[in-house]
Amino acid sequence: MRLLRIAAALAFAGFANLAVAATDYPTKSVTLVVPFAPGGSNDIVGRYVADRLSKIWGQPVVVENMPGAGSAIGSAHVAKAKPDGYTLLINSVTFTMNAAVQNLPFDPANDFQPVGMIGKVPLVLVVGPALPVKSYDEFMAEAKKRPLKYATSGLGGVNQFGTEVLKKAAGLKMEPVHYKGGSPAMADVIGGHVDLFFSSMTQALPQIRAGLMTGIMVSSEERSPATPDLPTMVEKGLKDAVVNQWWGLFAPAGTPDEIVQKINADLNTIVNSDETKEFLAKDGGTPAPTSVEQFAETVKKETAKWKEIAQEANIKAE
Amino acid sequence: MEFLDHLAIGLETALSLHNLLYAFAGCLLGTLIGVLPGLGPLATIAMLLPFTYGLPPVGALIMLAGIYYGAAYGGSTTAILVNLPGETSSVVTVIDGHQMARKGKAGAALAAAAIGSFFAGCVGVLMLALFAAPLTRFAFKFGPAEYFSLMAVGLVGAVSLASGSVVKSIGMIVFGLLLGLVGIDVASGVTRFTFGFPELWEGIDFIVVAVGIFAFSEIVGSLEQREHRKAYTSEITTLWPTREDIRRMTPAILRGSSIGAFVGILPGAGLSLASFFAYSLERKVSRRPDEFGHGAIEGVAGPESANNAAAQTAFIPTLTLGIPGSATMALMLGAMIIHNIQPGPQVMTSNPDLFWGLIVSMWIGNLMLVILNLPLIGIWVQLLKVPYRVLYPAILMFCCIGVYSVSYSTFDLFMAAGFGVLGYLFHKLACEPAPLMLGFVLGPMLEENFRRALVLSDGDFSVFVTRPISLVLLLIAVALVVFSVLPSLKKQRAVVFTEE
Repeated sequence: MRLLRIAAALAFAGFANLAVAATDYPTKSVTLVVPFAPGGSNDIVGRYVADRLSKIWGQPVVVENMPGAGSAIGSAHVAKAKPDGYTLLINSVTFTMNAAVQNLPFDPANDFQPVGMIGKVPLVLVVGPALPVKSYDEFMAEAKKRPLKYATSGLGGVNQFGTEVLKKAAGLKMEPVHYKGGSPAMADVIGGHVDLFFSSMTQALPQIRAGLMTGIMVSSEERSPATPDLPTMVEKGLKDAVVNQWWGLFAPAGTPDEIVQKINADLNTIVNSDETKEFLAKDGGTPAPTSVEQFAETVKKETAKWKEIAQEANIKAE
Repeated sequence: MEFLDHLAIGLETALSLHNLLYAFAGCLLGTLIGVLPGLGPLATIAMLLPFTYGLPPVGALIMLAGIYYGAAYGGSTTAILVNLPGETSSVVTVIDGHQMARKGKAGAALAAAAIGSFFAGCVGVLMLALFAAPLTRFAFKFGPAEYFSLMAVGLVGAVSLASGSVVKSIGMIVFGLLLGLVGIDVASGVTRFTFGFPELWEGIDFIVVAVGIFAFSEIVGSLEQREHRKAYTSEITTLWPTREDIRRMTPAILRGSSIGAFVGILPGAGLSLASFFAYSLERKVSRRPDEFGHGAIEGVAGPESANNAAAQTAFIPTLTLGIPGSATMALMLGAMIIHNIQPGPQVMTSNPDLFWGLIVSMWIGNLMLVILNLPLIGIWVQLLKVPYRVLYPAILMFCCIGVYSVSYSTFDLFMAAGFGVLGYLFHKLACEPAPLMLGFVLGPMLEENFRRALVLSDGDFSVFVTRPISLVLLLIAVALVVFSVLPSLKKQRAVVFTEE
């Protein structure tokens, strides 16, 4: 009899274990897929977050670089992964833009469960010797005089969308010149071959500080601590042209809500720390803690917005 | 005297025991991956990057840099001995290097490569130390129109890479150009020749094509004819270049170093382009053009010097501006960011110990490499005596690791296998693969810059001749065509006359 009772108790304990299994997460190592090659911003932010998450969880968080096809190869891998919270993806704002230009091997709206945003950083409009203007007003005066040529880091990237929304909001005429990546684009602006580039902060800051390029404005709502003297889109009455480069975590669709909420909570602990604030501030960025729902809403809204912009500006692969 | 102060800072940093060790480790590792076909500096640095977190920043960069230029050093070894390029930049070294080995002059070829590399490395480092800033300004003058014209020169020169039929060689260039088109078109975003595979969106990687066409096909080809290798391993006469060799390779090294140093500064051009250009030049200026393709020592010394000079000067835009010229250099910048160093024009003033320490360590690294490599020549040559059944499975394995490590994709492995079959066919048809590789490298750059230049000029074609640098380059291209066509025209006329 007694034996039976023990067995029953054990069985009950077993069930109880199952019930709390979700909040026990993670019980083994977690893979964070970085869909880009090592060394880029996604990789650096991804490794930072992975390191801090593994300290909180007491489980290793292994970063796996899966570059290729923009970020499509790595993203497709995560879309097809088992939705158990042990395969996560870091991706950026371009994730919501890719779908507007290319046919992707996955469905960005339905194959993923957004988990939370990490941080965001504005783009900064820079000009070189081809467009020797020093301020926003001078820039606008020149831009209304002649159609400018703007560099992009590739068709349908954040730089192109950023410039297109500005073009629309300010009623300008500008034509894209496409490059393979931000570096050659920057080089040609500094060399005076192209007029302007809506650059990432990371790339533009050292050039602005060295006087090789002139910063005109930032694309965010608020001024960036890295460029306190540059005006924002909102200040100049171009609210519709606000763009932020952000990074966020994603899980495969169908990942249990308890796990998603737990990752979100732990991610926010990291995002809210002073260390993270400092880490992001180096490149002009700010932490951006969100709830799961807020982040999902952002992703949804931006995906729809870029689709619309792409149609209007005729940015498509044809 | 500012230079001496800088030198002192650099020496102080580079000569610390730790940094010497990091430089040595980097060079050794670089030589190793250089020797191993397929495994390149890009993949190696990418894999090691996370491990450098724990190292001091200067040490980490010294080591990663050592891997980069060490690989350019080691790549020639396999090219000469086993007829497959250990590194993408040694694709042209295969042409004459291996022919020299077959004639029993493997030692001389290896020595020419090592001495040329050392000299070129020193030239590169010196340019980096003395003229980094003015050279950067010069590189900026290269806009899309100039790049297009430079690539046009390269393309015309490509014909001279083959020693056989001109028609075949043009065919191979065109095929290479077509291969280069695979992927998403930069200007329009259209996917070309991707057949529904997202793996092809970013184009085919150079390593995939090179490993397939050179390494895999060479192995298959050699399996057919088991006997011939014995023949030329037994007749290794001397390990060192003769006086005549030295006389011939000296000017080639000088020319190769200057071309390489120049091409290296241009962002996006790359080491392989430097060696392609150097080879074409050697062949054009040589009084013995017929020897090329059959073991001309200039054909080894020139390109090998060029790629090593370029490996050093490629650091110029990266260090002075924080603008990387290649994917590998982008990784180096990533390493700086990870270590809390903001790359950009201020690195020189904000982190002088890093900037000058790195430069001085590069020179020390070059010295280490030549000390490491010259005595090893004897050992490398012994490699020729390793039986196929041991050597080839090992090479195949390293090739596969190398190809896989490019983007961690098995798709690339299958593609490399496909190119292996193709390469074997080329071998049977006596079509030389070097022009194909050049077409493959140049094609996308040629097209991108052509279209970019036209977008910038609003469709005005005159932009290519109204910009002075572009005009000069185009004139060189025209002159190259005229000079290559003239002799054969004369010959034809001679034939016509005798028939009369």
